[in-house]
Amino acid sequence: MQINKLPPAAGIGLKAQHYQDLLDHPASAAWLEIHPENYMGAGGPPHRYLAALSEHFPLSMHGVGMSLGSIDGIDSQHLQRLKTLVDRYQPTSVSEHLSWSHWNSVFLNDLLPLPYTHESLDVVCNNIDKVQTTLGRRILIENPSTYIDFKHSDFTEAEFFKQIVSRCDCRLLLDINNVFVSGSNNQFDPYLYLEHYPRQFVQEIHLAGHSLQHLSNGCEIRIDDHGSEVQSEVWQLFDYFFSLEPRAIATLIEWDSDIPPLATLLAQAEKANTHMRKAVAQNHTGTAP
Amino acid sequence: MSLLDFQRAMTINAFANASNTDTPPVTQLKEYDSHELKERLAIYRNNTLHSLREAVKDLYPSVLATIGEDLMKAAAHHYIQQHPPNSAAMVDFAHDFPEFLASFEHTHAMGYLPDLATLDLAQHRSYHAQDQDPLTAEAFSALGLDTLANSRIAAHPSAQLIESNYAIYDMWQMAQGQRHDRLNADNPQHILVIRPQANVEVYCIDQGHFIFLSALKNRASIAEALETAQATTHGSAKHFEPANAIAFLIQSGFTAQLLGEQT
Repeated sequence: MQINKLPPAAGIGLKAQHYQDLLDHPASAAWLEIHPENYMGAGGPPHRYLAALSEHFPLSMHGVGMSLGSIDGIDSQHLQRLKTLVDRYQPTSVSEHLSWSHWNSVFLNDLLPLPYTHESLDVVCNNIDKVQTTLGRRILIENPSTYIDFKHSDFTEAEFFKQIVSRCDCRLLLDINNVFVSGSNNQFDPYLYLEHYPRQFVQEIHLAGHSLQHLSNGCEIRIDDHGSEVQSEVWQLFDYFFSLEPRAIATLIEWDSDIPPLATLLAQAEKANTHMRKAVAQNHTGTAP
Repeated sequence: MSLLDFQRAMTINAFANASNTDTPPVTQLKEYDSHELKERLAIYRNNTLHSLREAVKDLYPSVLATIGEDLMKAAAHHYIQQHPPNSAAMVDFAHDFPEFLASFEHTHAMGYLPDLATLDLAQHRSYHAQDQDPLTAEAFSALGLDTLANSRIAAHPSAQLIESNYAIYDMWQMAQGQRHDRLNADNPQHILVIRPQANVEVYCIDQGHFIFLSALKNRASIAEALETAQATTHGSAKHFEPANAIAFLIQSGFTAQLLGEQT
């Protein structure tokens, strides 16, 4: 299968507010990521800009609607629409989430959690297989942010990913913010998570901001809202990852609500590059990005 | 435990009415105290409902500006519960919101609102329509008069024609802050929404032009469309000028291609 790699440096999520700014500064980011669902219209300005920008930037298509965990399978029409986009823009990377978002043809427009059971593993692997076969390429699978935990699981999340990569010939997208958020919400140690996670399969990392809420019993809940700068605990976890896996990896700054000026995103990307360079250099004698 | 039961329960709960008591319980989760469980589940439910309400608000900005945040939120909320999306592509979502507004108990008395919503939707459809360069003025002027008269056209993929018994163009301008005077809501208006290149254009057009362009869209020849427009507007206050209609046809970029002469 086709294997492509994004540049091993920080990229940013493409937002309509920044289309023109990025066209005017084509060397400003190492690569761009889009949600393909936002480009599923037939034409119009989104496609005009994306076509122009994809001349200058390597492109990652990061889906939010494939629902790899759905018991009723992949929506063939949605998969076909993704394939049309992949064929048209030839992105360097295609990724999706370990989550579900539709049941019985009702779409929830959110990434919902899965129990990590043998049953879920079969469902997810069948669905990944269908997507990879249709697209004719490997995809990356991202760990979710979660707000609830299950009574019964056969695997930890990290073990579940090991099972997936061993069965599906896919690769992984590690969202460090999601590890931190889920660990905090569901009482697991994010550092231990990284130790057990199949790091060698990671081809992309996500970083984002999150916010803090309190339930009425005082319990802290971290909300993965992608609306602020990356928090210091997440930068620490990012550094820790490279102490375990000292190689430069394409890292995305995600920012999807309260979108700031492009310069803010680029500054976060530069900060990610600095952290990555330093952490890789400290832990490895090989070349830094 | 079954994944099916979990996904079914979560989906039904996300779109259920708060007063609905026969929703299936989500039984597969860790044993939180009942209040904490409710609050944790509410994060998911709110993510779904909030993101979809925002999608409806973004799609219908003139309706939002006209009825205000509170009523819009209530209308969008009821709409979403009755019409949950069936596609992950939000570009397809809430296209039947205008019809919903006609039946929703708190908006059905505002007869103009469905048409104003239709105007918002037309701009959305036009924005996302297939790109195509319209036929240029030069291409038109190269045609002989007879050829032109007998030609049929394919309308531009982004072209949307709207006929309303209400002054929805004026209301749209008001919603955008482009006019502030009092308007007569019962003034019928005709509108062409079109995006020949990058920008969506909204034209308030005469009834005659509306009939002319509608006939062309339905594959009448140019001569036939002019005739229909003239006959229909005969005796009305606004005189139909064929030359103006042809000029507007060319200038608006309405023509995607000539389909050749009628045989």
